[in-house]
Amino acid sequence: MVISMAERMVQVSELDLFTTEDEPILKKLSFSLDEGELKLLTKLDKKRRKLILGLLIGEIDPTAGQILLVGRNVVRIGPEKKRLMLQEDVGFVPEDFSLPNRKVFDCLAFKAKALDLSYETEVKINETLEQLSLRTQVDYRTEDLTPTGRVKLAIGLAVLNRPKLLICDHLLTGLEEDGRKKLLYALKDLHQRRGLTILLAEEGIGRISEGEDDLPRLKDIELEIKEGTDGRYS
Amino acid sequence: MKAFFFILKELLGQLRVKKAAFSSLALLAAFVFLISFYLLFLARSQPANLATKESFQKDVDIALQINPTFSDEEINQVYLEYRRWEEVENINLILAEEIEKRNLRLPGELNAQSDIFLVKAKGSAQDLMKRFQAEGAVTKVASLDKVIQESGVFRLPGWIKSISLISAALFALATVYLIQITVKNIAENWQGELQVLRFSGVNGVLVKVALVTYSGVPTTIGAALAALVLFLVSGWATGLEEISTSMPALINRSFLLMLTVWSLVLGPLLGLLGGILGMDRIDEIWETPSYKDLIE
Repeated sequence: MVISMAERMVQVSELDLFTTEDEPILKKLSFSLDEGELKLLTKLDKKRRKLILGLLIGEIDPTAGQILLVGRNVVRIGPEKKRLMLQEDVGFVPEDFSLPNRKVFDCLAFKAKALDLSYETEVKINETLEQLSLRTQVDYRTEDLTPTGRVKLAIGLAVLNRPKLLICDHLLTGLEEDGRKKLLYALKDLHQRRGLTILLAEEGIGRISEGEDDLPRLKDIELEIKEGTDGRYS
Repeated sequence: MKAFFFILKELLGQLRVKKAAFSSLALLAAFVFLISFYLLFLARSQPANLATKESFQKDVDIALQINPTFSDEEINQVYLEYRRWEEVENINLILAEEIEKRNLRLPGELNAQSDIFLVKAKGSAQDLMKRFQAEGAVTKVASLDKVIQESGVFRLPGWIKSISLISAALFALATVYLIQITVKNIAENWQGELQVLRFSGVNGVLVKVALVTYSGVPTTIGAALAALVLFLVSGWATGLEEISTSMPALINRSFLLMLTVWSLVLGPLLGLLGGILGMDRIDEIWETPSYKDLIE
């Protein structure tokens, strides 16, 4: 099921970000992402990419501007509400993610219990395992997983509680061609089955697999970012 | 709060495999036991002797046990009579209630249930004792010189006390260090779990409080074990006259209760201190990857 154009999932408008010494890093940054979209944030250097992701997941507060996430302005809400919102609506996989040193199932159960997802825990875990093709590796310890399996599990942990938005930082680049393809299929599956909005952040699209008919053409899903001219990187 | 209890439960589940935690527990138990033992030998914690150099009554030679069937009036008459004796320089009446209240230690042959006279002889104490032994009002006579020689309170030499204190301090430091290492190890082993918790929006303070609480658990158990050992030793010592005479604090229940409370306060505090000292590594791991650093 693909959700066609619907509500705005992310709306970043006129965003300024200054360093602690008042130097501009991002200036008048704007972009948007609609519900059910799969987009690629690319062509940015590592620092700017991470800054934008840090802003989206509430780790950094902007100097000025607005970030609407699932209809709420995260700039104006308090830390506790922001934390709860992140817990409910946003799944995030950082670039250098760490996995618990447990079996695949136990990793997912750990998060389910930590978030008190007791209701339908098994259902959610099984659904996640199924959609990410991790069913056959359920008894593997994380250290025994392939690199693609590890990334899939990291994504599984991020989407276990069925958030509306998934943000992945630089997960594709480190994988082999085959692994990237498998991961893109898994993400496409999640996107279609759950109607999940996905933002993939990668340094460049050149190194990501292209040419599969049933995979989205990466140049078609590139996120369009507008930025003012007086930012340091503009 | 549910996240806090869940994390604490998960951490406690790790105790089975965390040998460092168990070592720290054993060390703390030994440490608390040492400190407690040291305190047992402190003079101020021990009951006073009826008559020794550091006694309840100084400068007396003889203790007399008064016939328990005597009334107060009869005892008073006997007291007045003995005061008039030429061989008696001074005499004091110690009531049985006072002996019990002050937990005074008596020479072996005297009974703590009776009132006692303490007498200072003007001349030969031996002659005076013989005269008292012929008295019907007195059931038993004891020489306090003999008591001093035979059952003077056993004192630890100063150097042993110093070594005990230094050892206890070293044990305490080792315990804090071990707890700190344990907490850091958990943080290292839990990098994945901590990241899952962080990006799931779990409050970092809850995670840290759970870790600090966990660090207090093995030391609390250690302290409780030490208190238990003291009570067991106390029960054993009560039945052995020699031990209960030389280490009277062992059978003093209120003193043992005080030690227990002290242990149960100190135990968790030591653990919490170790946990707090290990918190820097937890912060480091919790903040990785750091986004705030990018704007500095």
